[in-house]
Amino acid sequence: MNSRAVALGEARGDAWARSTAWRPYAYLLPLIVLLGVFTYWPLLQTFRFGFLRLNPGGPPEFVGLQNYAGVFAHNQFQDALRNSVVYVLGAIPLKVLLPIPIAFFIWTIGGRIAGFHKSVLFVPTLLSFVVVSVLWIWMLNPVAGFLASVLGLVGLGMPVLLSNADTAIYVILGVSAWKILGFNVLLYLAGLASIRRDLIEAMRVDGAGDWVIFRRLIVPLLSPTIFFVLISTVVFSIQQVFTPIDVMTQGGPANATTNLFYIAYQYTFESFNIGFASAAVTLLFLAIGALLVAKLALLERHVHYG
Amino acid sequence: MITRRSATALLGASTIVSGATLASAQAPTTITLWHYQTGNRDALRAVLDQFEAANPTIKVTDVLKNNETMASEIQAAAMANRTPDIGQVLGRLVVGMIRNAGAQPLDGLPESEALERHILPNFLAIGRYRGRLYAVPHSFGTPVVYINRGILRDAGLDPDQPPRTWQELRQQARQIRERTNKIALYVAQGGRDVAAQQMMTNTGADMMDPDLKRATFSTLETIEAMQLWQDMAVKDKSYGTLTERELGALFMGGQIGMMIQSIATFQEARRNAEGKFELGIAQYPQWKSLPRRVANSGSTMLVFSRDAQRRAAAMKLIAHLTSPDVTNPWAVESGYLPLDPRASDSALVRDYLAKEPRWRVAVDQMQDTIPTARWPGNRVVEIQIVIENMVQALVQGRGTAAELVPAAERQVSAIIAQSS
Repeated sequence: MNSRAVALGEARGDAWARSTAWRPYAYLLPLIVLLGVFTYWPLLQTFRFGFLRLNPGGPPEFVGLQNYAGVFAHNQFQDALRNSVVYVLGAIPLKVLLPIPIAFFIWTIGGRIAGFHKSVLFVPTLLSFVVVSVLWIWMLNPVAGFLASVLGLVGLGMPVLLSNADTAIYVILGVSAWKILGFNVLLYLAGLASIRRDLIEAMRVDGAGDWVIFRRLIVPLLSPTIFFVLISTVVFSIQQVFTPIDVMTQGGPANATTNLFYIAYQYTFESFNIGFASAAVTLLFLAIGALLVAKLALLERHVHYG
Repeated sequence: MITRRSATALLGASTIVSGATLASAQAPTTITLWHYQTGNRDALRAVLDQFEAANPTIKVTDVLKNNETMASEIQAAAMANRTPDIGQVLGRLVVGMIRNAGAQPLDGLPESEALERHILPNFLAIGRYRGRLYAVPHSFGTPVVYINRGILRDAGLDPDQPPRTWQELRQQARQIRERTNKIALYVAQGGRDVAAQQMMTNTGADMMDPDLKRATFSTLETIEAMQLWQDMAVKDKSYGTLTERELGALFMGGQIGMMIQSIATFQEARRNAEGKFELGIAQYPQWKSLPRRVANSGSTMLVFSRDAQRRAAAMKLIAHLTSPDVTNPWAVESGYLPLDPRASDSALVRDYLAKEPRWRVAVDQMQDTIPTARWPGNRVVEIQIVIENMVQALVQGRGTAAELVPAAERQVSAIIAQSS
């Protein structure tokens, strides 16, 4: 091929590239429009409403930080903030760490029995949170509940858990973890499927025991999945307890189970206090954002993507 | 000079104008009613059909909404100038609807004078604000004591001698607990704060000052009443401290001795008790020897139309919905309170009482029912949560009534002062 032909080919290639350069943007446009209209525009509006008081029949009034001050001053918000931290921190051992050994156990045994275990663990994920919440109300009911009947057989009484301000939040946390556990086990099983079993055999030949294999091989190779589960747990755990709170306790007793997500719902849909709701949602957004940035900064360096 | 051509044009134009006028005179006015009559929707539609038949120029579109979010939806609609013509809203939210959703006064509208004749004055008080009438009661309730007569008998009590005062109620509840080891009493909270209000207003207290500027429910009598509630839960262990959902289901399952709940639950309780336990009903206990004085539960109807013609049509419908011909059958069918001051003279009510004498407590307690606290502003749920938390802290023994009631009053006053 002579140089003229090459130059001609390059020129044609450039022209084609120029004429099709708009295509990726065109393909992205529907998504950008949808995200803009349904995610980022409402987000910006929410931020704006946090500084306004809406007046029926008149223009909104700028009130500065009054909504934020009002939200902060109320003990319902303080309780919701404290509970939100408990929901996030409590979710980590139950939803992030506990599924790891369970998934490892299922992966190790393999075969049809592993399939059975997977199915049993995954069933709660398929149930709606409303069903799960009602089911646990009657499992734990101290008068006519299932556990009360079982304990009654051995002469023990069922303690009051759900309407006790000291224990109710752990019931909500437990119910939410019970439902999500199977799903996270499946995520870990997907991560484990990419680990070559001959590496384990090689470590065994070198004299490594189960704990060493788990710590030195499985955990590092599973770290991208662990990191993903951790991030999604932090983001979603406050939302995941919304339905159990609404069905089981409505935030009580004495604010013991409410959280930022639930009070934002109450401000919006029960009080129509849009200023407070927007302030609460903005604070929730910033809190989760800060938590994620901190986790990314601290933990991502320990993740082995290779 | 009028030519033949211009005369024809004038004739044509006048025909069109007169035709349009005739058409507008005959075109029905369609008004919208937002309500949350989930269980009674067909009954409500039948009432609306009856109204349309009597008023062929008015059509009513009824829209079923969620009770919990109705007030928010109306306020959102007010922001967009798309309010319904009539909305059914809980009584406690009336002032918020006037201030934040533009509810319109009813007095002065044609047929509004009928309201004074057809509704008990103490019921109509729920809709009065600054000297004007804005709302009428609809689906009103009053608290009564539902009794599992079998459990009372098992405890050695006479179910035909139900407790007349809270002091007697405590004695009977203690006896039920000691003799049967069952939960003796459960008080349905009625949307977070209504039960506490009933306990406190029954001692003679008012929840707020007349100007609705601050809470006034912390009195020596209310503290004593709330302390009694705590003592039943903490000392006597006779009061049920499980969640509302559990306790309601347990009573309906025949596991609890007595339940204080709105008369609106009567039909449901009657159906549930059939074949399970013998249901009795008694009036709400008095506080010592004071006259009974309980806050209502239930809803109101408000008019939001700004257009004069639609507002007049809405008022016509309100007058129909509150006429004894509608309210008495509605009460008999649903179990809610009648509104008619002469309800007990009505043949329909008399016949029903002959068939179902237990429902007499509803009629007997009509005069003792006062308006629920109409918390002002846009932070009603927060106020309710403060009162709900006070009750929960009391029954869990997290402070005495002398500590918790004044603290709750201060918090409620602070929220009222900050809300719009």
